[in-house]
Amino acid sequence: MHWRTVNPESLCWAQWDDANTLFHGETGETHLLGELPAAVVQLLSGAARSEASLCAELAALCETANDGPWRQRIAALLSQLETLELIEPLPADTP
Amino acid sequence: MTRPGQRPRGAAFGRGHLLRYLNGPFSIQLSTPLADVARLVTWSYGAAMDDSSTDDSPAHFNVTLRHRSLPRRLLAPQVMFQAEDSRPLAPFPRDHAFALLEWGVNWCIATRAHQYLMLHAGAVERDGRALILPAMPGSGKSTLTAALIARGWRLLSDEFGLLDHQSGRLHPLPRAIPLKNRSIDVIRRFWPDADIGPVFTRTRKGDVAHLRPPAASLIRQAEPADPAWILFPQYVSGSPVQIGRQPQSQVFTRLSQNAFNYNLLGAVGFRSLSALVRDCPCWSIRYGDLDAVIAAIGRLTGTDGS
Repeated sequence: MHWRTVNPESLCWAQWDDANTLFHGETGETHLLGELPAAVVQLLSGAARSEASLCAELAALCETANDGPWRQRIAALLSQLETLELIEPLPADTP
Repeated sequence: MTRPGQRPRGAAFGRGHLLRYLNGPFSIQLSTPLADVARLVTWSYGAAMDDSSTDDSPAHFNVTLRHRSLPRRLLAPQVMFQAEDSRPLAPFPRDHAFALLEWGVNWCIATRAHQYLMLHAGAVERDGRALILPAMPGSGKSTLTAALIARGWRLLSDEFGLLDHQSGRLHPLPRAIPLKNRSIDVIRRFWPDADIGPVFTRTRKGDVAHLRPPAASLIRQAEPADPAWILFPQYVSGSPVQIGRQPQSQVFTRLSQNAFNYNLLGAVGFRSLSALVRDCPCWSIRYGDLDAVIAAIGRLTGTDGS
């Protein structure tokens, strides 16, 4: 499955020492995001990615193994970010 | 100096009073038949009476304070607050008329002044730099604000921190400070010369007495200040002063949740608040003694001359 950020042009970021604050103009909501979820949204704002590709990129970024538990963690995170309407899956027939 | 009993300024109309005064960037036009209210408005804002306006020049807020119907007056006298055509607040007992007016004007500002990010906070200034005291339940924000102005800080506001989106500066809104319950006597002891008006007993917020804004603050109420520090106060009886640095992410969250209009402003509010949090160091401060906390604030802000 491929994922993308919902309307990345409407995102406003504030980066702090310990976390990130994100305003999403699409929903009018403000979110407090840790480093990992912020990295997901930022990567998907640049370009849509497959879940497998995202897991590999994030594992490299975090210097951790791209193993089963990691992929499960990222899958759970994607689900949470989708619930917040920050990201969305691309339609299945998208090339 | 005017006293609470002094004759009100402004025009008499019919059997009532028409007063125009300035509160920070706003002009308020009050019409009321209640002479005691007119006197208290003149006492509170005498230095900010707007004598230059003409009858037909528009005010930001046109408000009315008047009796309810005659049968109601005979039963248990009450007063109504009206802003333009709306009556946003329930009637108050007649004896609480001035308190109702003050809360009513606060309502006008909170619901309409969206050219500013409106922080729910006290704010005081020294040497052009503003200290912001966000209001959290039990914080003792009004008491601390009053104590700071007693020690030479300029009152910017007790309730609204008006942050200008363009300049990032804080605009004054020096309104009467409603001291509640024990705070009334605390400030009387701390500041024997404080101008405190009549005590309105058993209002919906307990006993309330208004501290008159200093004339110097009213005279300088068009003069904004640069936000410099954010301090979350917490009064704890008997506590020594304890200071802790606050993480910026938490400060942003607390201020956004506490502002009157953050959600309404969208990206503009986000940018204003982000800049504020980025530029101002922020602490929490727990205290149980006003002299001790004011000394600590002086050291923290470098305004104690050391």
